[in-house]
Amino acid sequence: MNPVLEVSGLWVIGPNGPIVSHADLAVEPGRTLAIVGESGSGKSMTAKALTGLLPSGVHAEGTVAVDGTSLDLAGGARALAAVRGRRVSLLLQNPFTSLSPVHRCGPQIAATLAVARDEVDDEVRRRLAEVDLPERVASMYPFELSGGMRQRVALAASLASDPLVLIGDEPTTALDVTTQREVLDLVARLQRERGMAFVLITHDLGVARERADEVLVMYAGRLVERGPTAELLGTPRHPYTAGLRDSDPPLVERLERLPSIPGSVPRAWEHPAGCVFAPRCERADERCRVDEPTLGGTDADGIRAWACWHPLDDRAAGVVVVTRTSPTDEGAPTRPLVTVGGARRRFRHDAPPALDDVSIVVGAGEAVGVVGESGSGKTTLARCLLGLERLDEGTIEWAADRPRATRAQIVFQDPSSALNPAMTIGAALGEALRAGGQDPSAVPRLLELVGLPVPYAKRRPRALSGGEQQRVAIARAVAPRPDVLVCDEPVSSLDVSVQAQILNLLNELRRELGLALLLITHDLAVARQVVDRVYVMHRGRVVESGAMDRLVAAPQHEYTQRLFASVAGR
Amino acid sequence: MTARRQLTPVVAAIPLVIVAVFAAASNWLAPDARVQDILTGVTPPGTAGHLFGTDTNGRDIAQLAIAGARTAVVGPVVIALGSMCIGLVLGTVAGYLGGAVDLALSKYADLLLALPTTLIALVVAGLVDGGYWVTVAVLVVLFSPTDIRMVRGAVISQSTRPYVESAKALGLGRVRIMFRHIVPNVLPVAFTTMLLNVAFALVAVSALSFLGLGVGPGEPDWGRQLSDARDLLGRNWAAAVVPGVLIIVTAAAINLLGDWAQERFERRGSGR
Amino acid sequence: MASRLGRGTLGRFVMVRLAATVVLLLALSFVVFALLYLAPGDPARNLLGPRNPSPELLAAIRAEYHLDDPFVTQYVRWIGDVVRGDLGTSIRSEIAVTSLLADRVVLTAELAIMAFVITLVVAVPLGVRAAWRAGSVFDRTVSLASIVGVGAPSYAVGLLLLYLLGVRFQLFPVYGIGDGGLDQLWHLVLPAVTLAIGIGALVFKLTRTAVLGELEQDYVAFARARGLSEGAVRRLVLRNALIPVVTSGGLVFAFLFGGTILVEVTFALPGIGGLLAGSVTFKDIPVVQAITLLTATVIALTALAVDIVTYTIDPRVRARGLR
Repeated sequence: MNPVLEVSGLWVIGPNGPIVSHADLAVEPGRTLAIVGESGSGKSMTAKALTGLLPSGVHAEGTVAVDGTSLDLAGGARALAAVRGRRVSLLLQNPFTSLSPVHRCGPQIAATLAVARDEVDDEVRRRLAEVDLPERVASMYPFELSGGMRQRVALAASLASDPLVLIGDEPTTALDVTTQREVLDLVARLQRERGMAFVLITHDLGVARERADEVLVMYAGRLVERGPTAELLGTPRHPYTAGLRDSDPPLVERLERLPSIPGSVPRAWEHPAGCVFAPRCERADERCRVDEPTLGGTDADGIRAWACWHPLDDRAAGVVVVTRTSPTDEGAPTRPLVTVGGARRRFRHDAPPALDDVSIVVGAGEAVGVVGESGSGKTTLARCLLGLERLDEGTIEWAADRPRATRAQIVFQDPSSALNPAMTIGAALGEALRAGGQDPSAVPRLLELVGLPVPYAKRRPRALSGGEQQRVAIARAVAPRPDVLVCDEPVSSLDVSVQAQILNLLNELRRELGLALLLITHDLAVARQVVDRVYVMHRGRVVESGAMDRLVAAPQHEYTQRLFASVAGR
Repeated sequence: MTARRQLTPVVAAIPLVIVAVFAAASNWLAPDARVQDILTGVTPPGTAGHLFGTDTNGRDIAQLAIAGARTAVVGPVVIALGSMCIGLVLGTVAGYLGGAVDLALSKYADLLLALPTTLIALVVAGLVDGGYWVTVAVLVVLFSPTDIRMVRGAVISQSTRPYVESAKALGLGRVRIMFRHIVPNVLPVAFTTMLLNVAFALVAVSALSFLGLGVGPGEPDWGRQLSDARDLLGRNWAAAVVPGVLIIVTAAAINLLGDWAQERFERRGSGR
Repeated sequence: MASRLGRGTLGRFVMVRLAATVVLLLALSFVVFALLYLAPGDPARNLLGPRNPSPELLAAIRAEYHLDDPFVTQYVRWIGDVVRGDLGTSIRSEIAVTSLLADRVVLTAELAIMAFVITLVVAVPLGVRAAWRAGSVFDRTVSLASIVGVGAPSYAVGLLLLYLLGVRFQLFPVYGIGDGGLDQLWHLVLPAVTLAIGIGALVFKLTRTAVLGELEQDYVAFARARGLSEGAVRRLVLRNALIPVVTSGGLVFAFLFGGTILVEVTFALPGIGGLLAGSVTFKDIPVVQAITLLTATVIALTALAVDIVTYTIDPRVRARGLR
């Protein structure tokens, strides 16, 4: 079959140099191509170049052929006008901002429908039905709909002009896991019905594994490997692909230590000579640091290809050496540290409660998880435990009567706002040490503990990468020697290759310092790697709790089952 | 593009430095600003010894304009600084603590903002009748509600950030959190607002002296000079043009600098 | 539609907002009444003006204005009179304040409306265009001009215009208001343009910021990506940008009324603003009180109108209702 979309020699060039360097890609009708990469990989810029949406100061080069018509990408929006919408359409990440807030959904879908005026209403109704939405949505405003419904409206709108290719830029990242699955299932069905090609841009290898026929891996603006999904993920040739695959935490088993890629993702304008991945690659030698490898095809049709001087062979690529931990036992902790009983909290009288009769226990030195989707109340629970939020009803009892700073400390999701931008790292850590009655001269030791160079004490947060900032946030949280370390989505906003490093660090710290850990997360696989016992929350209630091993093997509650079933790629 | 951005503050700073020198050294640069010569009266620009001519009372327009820089600059700087000090303290307290303090301050701000500043300043300064520094004091009070609001908003947006929550979890005191953690992060935007306020205050102070309030009669002042010049348009154009251009250029230079600073801080903020 | 969105209808919204406006005005009227006591010295003496009063005259004034009553009683009597349309008598001209105002309010209204129209016709389109071509030479030029314009005081600009266009090139009349009708409007052109420069710079900035803010939104990228024409995208953006522009309309109006005082003095126009400036210097307190209250009322009603318009054009506000 001939590709419906074929891009050759794509360059995206920004003010500081190339953002995407020489990428080729093609997708056939009805098939799905995933472009996988971390931040700064150039995957989103690729989508923007193909839809003529590059920001000012950034331009593209290369050609795109859609359904046989070849266009010059350097022409930008004007050159793409003929295909934009009509043949190639786009679905964005955030359903909360991708629709005009002051226009009803119906007209927004109708804007690109090619039907006679008097048939518009019927057609809108038909299009809504196609994405499993009721007729009344047409006369509703986007803010009246849930995130999942909005993304369905957006999908209907982007399909209104019946495109041959749909490009989805992280189309489900902003959604809850259960909703994610529904939306992706819907796209798959529409793809089948329409014979439409789908270019799925994602950071999530699990989603790619489950949905794509073919995968492209991008790193720092370069295409580093491509191939059919199963083959590429089964026997990756490029060390980065293998690293990315292995640092994605598994759900079925708990690893003693997650494989991870050292260092952090280079910023878009940092261009080392030679192979872009060399600074983080164990196999790199002199040649890698001087010569940049090009993408070389290997099989007859040229689909499987990688850009590496020292590709992994079958054996190295296929096997991950892991140590599995022994299963933990069920039941309550022997020595409770903090007990929450019958906690209730409601923020607005006309909204459902954030906490509805929640009781949990965290024992000394224990790792406990609270798992749930957005709106489940898990973050409110954490904040109440820290004393950042009060309870309407219920009790929080601490076994030991210690000062606030030494009871519990917290690590937040977004490391960039977790540190005071006006304070140096050293000052922030010194303050935390003093708050716990510790000697403030222990800052260097604290930095070493979280794996950061001592001179970082003089820096400000801005000069650090996301992963490094999160290490500092963790150091600050453990500085006062708290009994419990609460981590609220500690890795959700980090790149996959950095996530594994942070999860390993949390496990190490727990062992070394004898901390109890309370991990708040939406990600079951992340919880799996860290916690022994877990509480599953749904709409302010704990619906199920028990040993993680038991829950993975046999979830009891209907919601827990649904949650486990939604985890992508497994 | 970047060259232009670097150029803006330099271009804006030149007139400001000149005006500052006028204000600082007016006794030396314009010793005869107050000297009247009623017999001569109005003379056009270019009259011997008077580059820009003289006004009704025979005072030298150029010297008056140099000496007038003092009241034009000192008061507005005091107003901007004073109202921002009030804004930083009350705005931080209202924003961080909320509750009754917040409510009272918001209502006070609402009331003052329900009328044009020019009108309140005119009425209050006019009825109180107390000269330049009373006018300055009135304007400090009138400028403070917007500063309180601005700081309050900035503090509220900071205080929900995780770094503040972390400080709370460490059990740090409220005062330490407010002034050691939050305020340093509000200062850039406070500084920009203050800069822009200097320009507004310059216009307001001169407006009041244009209306005959504030500066005493006979004192060199741009607003008063303009007011006097209304009757001289046909006889000495410079009497209106010189102080008029000075006010416009000074205000524009400050605004340009403020706008530049604002853009810089915003860009730095978004780069995080 | 509004009923399905629940919680409030336009009628109820207007009633509640109107009540809030009345409360605000009552609070302000209290402050305005207190102005009588703000001026240093004996209020009775102040009410008599610069005449040299005999003790009998002072006593008569104290009785006429009930100055010996408790403050609150005085206020209640005063506000009662105000509501009935009696704003007292001017000290300077000894004419009823209401008729004094009636003579001048038309001129001020004409001036304000003219300036407002000039602003709308010029500044809003410029703001939209500048935002659409952000970073272009056009945008940078107009933006720079607006920075100068926003800070330029109307009295300075007015005198410069007066000198250039009135005295030097004699294109416009210098002083006065002409012989009524079209001639009066012709005399108001220069003052209105002066007023419009400052306001226009502000409106330009507001419009540009609003449109630019909308252009950066995801929905614009999404609309373009699905092939909406540039015209359709423009309509989408302008409809959204309308909301912040209208919301800041109240601010613009307050600015406008502050500006009329200075412009009327600069051009020696016999309007409300000029009267206020004169009355303040003369300590003609009844007139000052009346004008302050009138201005507050106009601005409060504008704010109310802005709220109502926002309610009708922003579905989110409609749904939120009255909180």
